[in-house]
Amino acid sequence: MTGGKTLRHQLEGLLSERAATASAKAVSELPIDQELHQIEQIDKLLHFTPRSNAKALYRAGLVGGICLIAACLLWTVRVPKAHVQLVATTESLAVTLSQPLNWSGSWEVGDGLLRLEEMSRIELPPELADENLLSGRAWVEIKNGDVALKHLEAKAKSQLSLARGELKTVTIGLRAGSVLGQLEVLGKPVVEAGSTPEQGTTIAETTFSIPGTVTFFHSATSGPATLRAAPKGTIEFSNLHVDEISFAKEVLGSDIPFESGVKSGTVTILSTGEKVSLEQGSRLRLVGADGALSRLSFSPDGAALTFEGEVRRAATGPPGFERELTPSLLEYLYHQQRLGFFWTVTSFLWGLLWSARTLLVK
Amino acid sequence: MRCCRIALIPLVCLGALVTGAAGQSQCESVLPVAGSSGYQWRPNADRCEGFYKQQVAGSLEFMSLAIGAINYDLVSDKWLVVSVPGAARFNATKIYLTARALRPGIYYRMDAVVKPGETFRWPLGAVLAPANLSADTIGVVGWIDRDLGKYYVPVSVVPENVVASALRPPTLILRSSLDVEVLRWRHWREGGGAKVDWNIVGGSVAPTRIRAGQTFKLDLTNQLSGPTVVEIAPKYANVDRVQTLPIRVIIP
Repeated sequence: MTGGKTLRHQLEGLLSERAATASAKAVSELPIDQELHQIEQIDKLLHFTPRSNAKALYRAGLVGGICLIAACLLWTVRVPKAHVQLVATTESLAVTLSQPLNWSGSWEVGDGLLRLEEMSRIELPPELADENLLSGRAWVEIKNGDVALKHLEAKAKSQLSLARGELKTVTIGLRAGSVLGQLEVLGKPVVEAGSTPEQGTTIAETTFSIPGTVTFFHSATSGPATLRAAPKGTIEFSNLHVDEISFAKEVLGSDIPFESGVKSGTVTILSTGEKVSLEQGSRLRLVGADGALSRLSFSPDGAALTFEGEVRRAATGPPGFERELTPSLLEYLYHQQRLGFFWTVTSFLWGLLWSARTLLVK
Repeated sequence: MRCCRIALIPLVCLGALVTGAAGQSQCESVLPVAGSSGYQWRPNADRCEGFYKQQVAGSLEFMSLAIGAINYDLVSDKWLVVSVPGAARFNATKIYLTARALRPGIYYRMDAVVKPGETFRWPLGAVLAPANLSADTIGVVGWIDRDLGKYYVPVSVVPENVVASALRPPTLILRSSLDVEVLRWRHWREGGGAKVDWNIVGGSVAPTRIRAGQTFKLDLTNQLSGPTVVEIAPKYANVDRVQTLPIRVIIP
């Protein structure tokens, strides 16, 4: 085999040399009959010289290896972003807004004690206090009376957390972004307020036959602020654009500091159609979320939401035993019927045009 | 040098396109009517102006806060000059301007942004004159963004050959989309509370009933300069509960 390979190599080299000599002579307009004769002879000899299979086998092996590596990569590498839909109910939710929130309506929150804490500014109705604009780490407590949240607006990058508490109470946490809100007070509330947690302001007893307005503002540079209340009804948000979403809730006095607030739900990986059911306490991690809460309602029973968007990573299960929901590239391609159809059509059209060209050229 | 100039042309064109696109994108929040009178970006004086399709409006709309009456002639005047007296003291980077038609059923709107100390030149020939929108049918508001929300600032709207006067008191014009049985209002200096009594439009004996779509004026004469809270409490017909709307105004 080696001898045949060497002989074939020598003949191929000789053929190239004679062809080069003939070409040079032809350019110089010299006769090339002798070279052409030799070329024909060498060509005939090449037909009888055995061809080596090693090269072909080497090439086939190389292609096979590349295909194997590509298949392994497709199987193990996950898509950079997966399109997911989540319908869930949860006891706690934390989101970072990617677009401003501007909500107006009426959410009755005065079915018990209402407390605003750590606000940058709180403006009370003028009949309650001579100096009714509290600044710093302002707080206010309202008992009795009818109190309703009428307006809430938050700038992009604000972090909002909603958590269900004991005895039908809820806590809304605000941090990192500017948040502005308005409460409407009616009836005969008992109000306490101050510019700092240690300092109270003298509040006059007042009966509101015409609703009074409490305006609160939380600045982006201040520490976290909270609104605690015992609402009667539900507050509904729609098309809330978020770029972070979490369902973790802090557990005091436990070895595990955080646990999932999820009560129930379904995650659908829209890229592959895979559906995963969530039960009470199911851990769900949506990393690098970028999408919208098309519906978010929040009441003393918790939050109900529908999220649709892209995530860098989706996983369920406890730490160390997480089930990866983000599809691999292979899974993704397998489920892309449209992509397959596109390439089928492209190949068919290419074949059709190539055949037509061959026919026309003939 | 010539090469540099030629190389700059695409950059300048790109800059103009980007600026135009940014301006146009500001106009997309309103659904315009078809044609040249539709609400759209107008490049000759950066603004969005025109007619739009009816949208659901709030029950009480803040239509105008102008120093004195807006006065212009659609035939002889070509440009209006909108200025915000005392704007340099507001600590704002932008002042937003919005003009709307006061009459119900006319869905006209103009939005522009000016820097404090600058004036906005508003051409009458683009939309106002062709649509025959006279001075008594237009309201203009200007506002700045602050911690506690929008702060409205009184604007002066005069033809280009008339000198604006800051001496006249600002007039606040509102419009309700529902019938108002009793309209109460009061105002106080921001931060300085104390019990403030309510005023009733038309008086407490025979309050003026305000029909849906009708505008009404609140006179802010004798106000001390600075941030002021104007609280409006309409009692709508067929609605038991009185509602309140606090508006923040900066008197220059």
